[in-house]
Amino acid sequence: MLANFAGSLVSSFLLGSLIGTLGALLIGRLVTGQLFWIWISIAVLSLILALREFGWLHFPIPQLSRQTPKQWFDSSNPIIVAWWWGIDLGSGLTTYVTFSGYWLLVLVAFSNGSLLYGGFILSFFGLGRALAVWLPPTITSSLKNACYMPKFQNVLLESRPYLHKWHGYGLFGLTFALIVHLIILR
Amino acid sequence: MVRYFKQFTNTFGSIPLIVGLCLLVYDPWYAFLPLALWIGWLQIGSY
Repeated sequence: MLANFAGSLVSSFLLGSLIGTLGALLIGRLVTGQLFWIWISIAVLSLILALREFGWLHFPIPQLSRQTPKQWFDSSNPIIVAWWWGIDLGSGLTTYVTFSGYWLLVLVAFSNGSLLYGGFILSFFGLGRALAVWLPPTITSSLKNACYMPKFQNVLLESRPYLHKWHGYGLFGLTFALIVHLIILR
Repeated sequence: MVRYFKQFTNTFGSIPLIVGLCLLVYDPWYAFLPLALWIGWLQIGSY
């Protein structure tokens, strides 16, 4: 599992750094006036994505339609498999984007225009994603009953609409908090 | 089991979200770090 965490953190940090550097090259450092419009844009995008999560708006989001190849499991070395699995999933860009809030993080990393900040923000995403990979087998193995794993996978499938709603509420909260921040800033 | 999973998600998954939303009012740059953790954690729903 450490290999998975490491792979996830490395790929997310590298991608975040690249996005931050691109932001620095294309828009440079933001001044207060520009910053105001950046936060407005992020608040509006967050609201639109929240409506999408609730199923009230329908539009595709940019994503690569691929999953991590299951053939990787056939490799003889589980540490190497875990590492590449982490590399592939950690950045969030090379597989399906299930929760649209990911693009807010990319926009924030780009807008900040800092290699380190971009790396850190996507590293936190990679860390959360690695935790999500680590937790289900850990819980089910602690139950000492192998048949719990398929049950848990069914639970995750059943919980997907719930998680999308939860994501939507979070994005609504994000919009509201940003508006409060902008009012205080003014 | 669904109920337990939801309880777990509500309890522990909400911590980075709440921290992020509180920080957002004061400094959005820092706030997006716990929010990124929360969005990453949500990917548990993609398996």
